[in-house]
Amino acid sequence: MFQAPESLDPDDRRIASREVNGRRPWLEPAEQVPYGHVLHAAALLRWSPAAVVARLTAMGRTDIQHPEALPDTVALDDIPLVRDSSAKCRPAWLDVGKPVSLRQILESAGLADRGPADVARRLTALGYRLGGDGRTLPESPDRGDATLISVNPGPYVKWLDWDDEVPASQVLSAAAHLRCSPHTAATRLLAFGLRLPYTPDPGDELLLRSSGEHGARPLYGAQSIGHILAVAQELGRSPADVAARLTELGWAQPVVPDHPEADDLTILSEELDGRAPWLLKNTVVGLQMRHILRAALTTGRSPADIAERLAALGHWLHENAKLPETVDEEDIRLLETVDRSYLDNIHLEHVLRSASLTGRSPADVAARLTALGHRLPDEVDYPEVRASLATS
Amino acid sequence: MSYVHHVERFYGLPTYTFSPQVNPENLPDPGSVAWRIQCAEIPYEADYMGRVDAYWARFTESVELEKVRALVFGHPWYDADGGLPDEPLIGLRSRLTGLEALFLGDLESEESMISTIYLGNVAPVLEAFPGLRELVLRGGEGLDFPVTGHGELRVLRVESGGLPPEAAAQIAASDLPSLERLELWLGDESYGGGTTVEHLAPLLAGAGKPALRHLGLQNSPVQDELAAALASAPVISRLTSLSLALGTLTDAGVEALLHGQPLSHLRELDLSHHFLSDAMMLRIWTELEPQGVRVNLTARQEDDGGNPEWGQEHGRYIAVAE
Repeated sequence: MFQAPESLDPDDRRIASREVNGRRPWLEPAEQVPYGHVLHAAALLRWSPAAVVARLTAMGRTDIQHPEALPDTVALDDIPLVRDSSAKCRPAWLDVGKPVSLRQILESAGLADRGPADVARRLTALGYRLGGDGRTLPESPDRGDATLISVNPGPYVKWLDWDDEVPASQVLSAAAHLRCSPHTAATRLLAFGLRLPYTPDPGDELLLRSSGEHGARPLYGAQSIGHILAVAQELGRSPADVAARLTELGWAQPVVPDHPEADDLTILSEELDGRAPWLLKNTVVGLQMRHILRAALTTGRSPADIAERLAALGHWLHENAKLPETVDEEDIRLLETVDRSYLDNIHLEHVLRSASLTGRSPADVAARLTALGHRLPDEVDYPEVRASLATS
Repeated sequence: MSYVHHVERFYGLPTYTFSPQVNPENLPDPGSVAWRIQCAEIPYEADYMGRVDAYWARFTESVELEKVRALVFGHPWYDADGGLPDEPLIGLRSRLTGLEALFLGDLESEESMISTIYLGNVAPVLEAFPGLRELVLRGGEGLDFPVTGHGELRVLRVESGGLPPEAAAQIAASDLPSLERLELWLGDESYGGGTTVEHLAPLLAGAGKPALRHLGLQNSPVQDELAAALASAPVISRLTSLSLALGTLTDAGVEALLHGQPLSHLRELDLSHHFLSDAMMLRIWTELEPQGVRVNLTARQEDDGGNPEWGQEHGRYIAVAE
């Protein structure tokens, strides 16, 4: 039960109020007065913490949390540092009886744009005991520090603490979120005294640099062989060596060919130019026929030959697909208008859309898609009339 | 299939969700992205609104607002609880001097049902930003559009599961001399919609929007009636593209369109998400496509017959409702 203080003294009423404003809610009489409240009141009233403790005692509060030695002064900008960053449901003060977590230091430092070392020193001066066996922390402020130790941010976040080993994948995902390099993230994590499953090497940037089919976003389950082959070629290292290091750095275990072929980079690149973005392995619907035909056109090889080589590189083509013996550029243009895989039926609406976009007749489109292995179950007399491409 | 997603691109720019944890030097160039302002709620969080305040403060102190071209507001600035006041945005107008595009209410269904996203009166925002060229609103609850004129606005889209008919009428009657694209998702009466042809009369007559080239009257349970009205509407002659997508369009609506004024001047006719028969799909395609009108007939739907016990005479539903 919250009770207003008997005293009408304005300072007493402020000290007795949870937000040190002289108004409800009041401190709970049956509960210990948190040390954070003592500091908060001292900062707002410009009293010493000892004076606040004395006044609370005079008001009848016997259970007041505080360290053995109270600081002489406390500043207003100390107060955010002692708000418990792990509080649930309602704000709470940091418990001076427990060691301070790394999360507490990094979150409060990030919010205040102060260096972790500065925050750690200040908390120590206020009487808090740090976890981490007194290890040193970086002096420089960095807003992203707390993100580096938050695994799976959101409702199911897990915070890494002083003695934890950082999963390699965490370095990549945090770096992506913070728009910094994985090496920068890794070295910062080491500066907190955390452990990594590998030793960061500036040379890793080359391995990870162009990994981004989508910029810096890591793609754990979709390691691209093209990236590995390209990096290996550039660095003069073997694909297996590059793949092994990428695995250490948090990527999924890739399969790499023992003997790369000259056209591999070309046929593994989405734009058939031997560069990123690289073809990603699709485990659900498989390769796009359009890519095979484009690759065949670019390299002068047959569609079957391309499909065979891509299969050796870990990609697969759906069993329904019927590869043409030779490449017809009209097929490529047609397939660019089809957003259905070999798992999907192609209906009248899709045929009409492809006919619209290619200028071919619906009858022609339907016949050609059927020849390429797509299923067209609708019993429709597709018209021979062609769309005008005047608007394309 | 859901039609309501966080926008990945807006105003021709990739969206970037501002993160207060990213050091300013690592943030994108202010004019290179559409900045999404969104602060996700974490269960049992002790001081969510304190974090929201800190988020906004850090955005305004970390990004050169003068260079920002596009802003996208999500939760909690807009949500089912009424969202946050727009004064902070309007209060920054002296710094947001280059703002050209605004998206208000970029929430997905997991965050808030579209019909419950509260929009309120958007006139103050338009008054505060006379240079705005594109405005997208998602929601509908409480939408008020008493806009008497805005000289620069080129694109206006309202994505709604239930656009208040009064707001639709206000938009239809507004003077927007530069508006080139207008897209209204009208929505269902059960979720606050109910717009009829009469509400849209000034728009159909071609009044107040002389630059209009694209019109979308979409996501409507009276799509056939709208199609019939458009068949003789003066506005059609100035359009290059027309959309009747996302609604309950049937053969009757298309029949009316085909019996109305010529449509051959259109470059595109979007009828996607429809309830047309094979025969009607083939008919409109073969009539218009050879004339150069690209007809989009994708996302065909099946009438499931409805539930007679609930008084339903058919089972045709709009694409986006609750």
